[in-house]
Amino acid sequence: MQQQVETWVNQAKKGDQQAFYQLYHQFKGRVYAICLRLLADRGQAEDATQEAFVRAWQQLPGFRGDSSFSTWLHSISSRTAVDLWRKNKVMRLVVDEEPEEQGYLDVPEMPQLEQAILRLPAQARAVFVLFALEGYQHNEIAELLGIAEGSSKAQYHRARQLLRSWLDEN
Amino acid sequence: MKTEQQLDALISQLAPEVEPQRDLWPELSERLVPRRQPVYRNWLGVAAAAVLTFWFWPQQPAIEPQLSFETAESTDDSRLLLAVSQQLQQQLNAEQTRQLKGLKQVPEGFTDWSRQLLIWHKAQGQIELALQFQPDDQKLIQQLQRIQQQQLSYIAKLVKTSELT
Repeated sequence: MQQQVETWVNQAKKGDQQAFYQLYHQFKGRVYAICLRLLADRGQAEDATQEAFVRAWQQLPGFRGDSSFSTWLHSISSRTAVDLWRKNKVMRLVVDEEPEEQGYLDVPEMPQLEQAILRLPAQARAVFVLFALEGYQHNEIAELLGIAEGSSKAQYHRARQLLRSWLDEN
Repeated sequence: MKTEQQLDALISQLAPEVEPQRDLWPELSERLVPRRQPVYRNWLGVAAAAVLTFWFWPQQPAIEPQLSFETAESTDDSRLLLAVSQQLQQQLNAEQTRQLKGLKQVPEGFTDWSRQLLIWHKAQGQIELALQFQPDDQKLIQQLQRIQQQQLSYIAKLVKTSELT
């Protein structure tokens, strides 16, 4: 599969949209997962997924293969979702209130932890997803989200506390 | 309350992928701007077109225009196509001024030559208008080039036939 991905990447770099479709098809689930978990809103996650792939298409000629395509796309996806998350943050400041269950998706087939993550307050959720699921460090998260490193650690702790208590309810 | 270990175990079981519930590709694909060719190819294309148009055409007006569509179609760069089209237009203006004004006798079969050119001119105007709204539409640019080349061919045949009669 890795070799096939490299072939598609090389073809897409030259402008082959069919090859890029294959890459989209291969990685859309991974990209959407990052976006959905960060944004906790299906519509916004779809927008962010599309935007991430558009950015990937635009930046692909500069992709030198220092990391795998998957890692590279993963980084673009995280940053794209965070950009949208930061826009939402401005909106949250405007209303001066953090609705804890905004965009909560009640999907019975979704694992309990998945649903609980989507219920987390926005900042705690973003920190939790980036640290626990995406492998970012707290200093990186602080820079990405525009918060202090200490806040990142505190929010992560808060997220874990909430998740532990919510999961125990069920 | 779940323990830290139980939570970690649940996290490790989370699926790495979540499939979107609708097909995002149709909207996404509309936003993918076609890739431009490397710059050196543009210059090669322009140079080739310039050589063909300026070296061969003015000295042999009766010969068909040498710029082939393959040259234009081999690149998907709209700017190159537009540059070639501008050169063709300059050439067309020059030929109309230089040759048609000196035309002494209109050969048989070309009596409506001015009307014929007017039709092409109108068609060209429509395409140029469309290009103002869609400047990167390569089909439009290629269509413009075809019309310009048809006019050049027509003038060349007209002049050649006139010289023979």
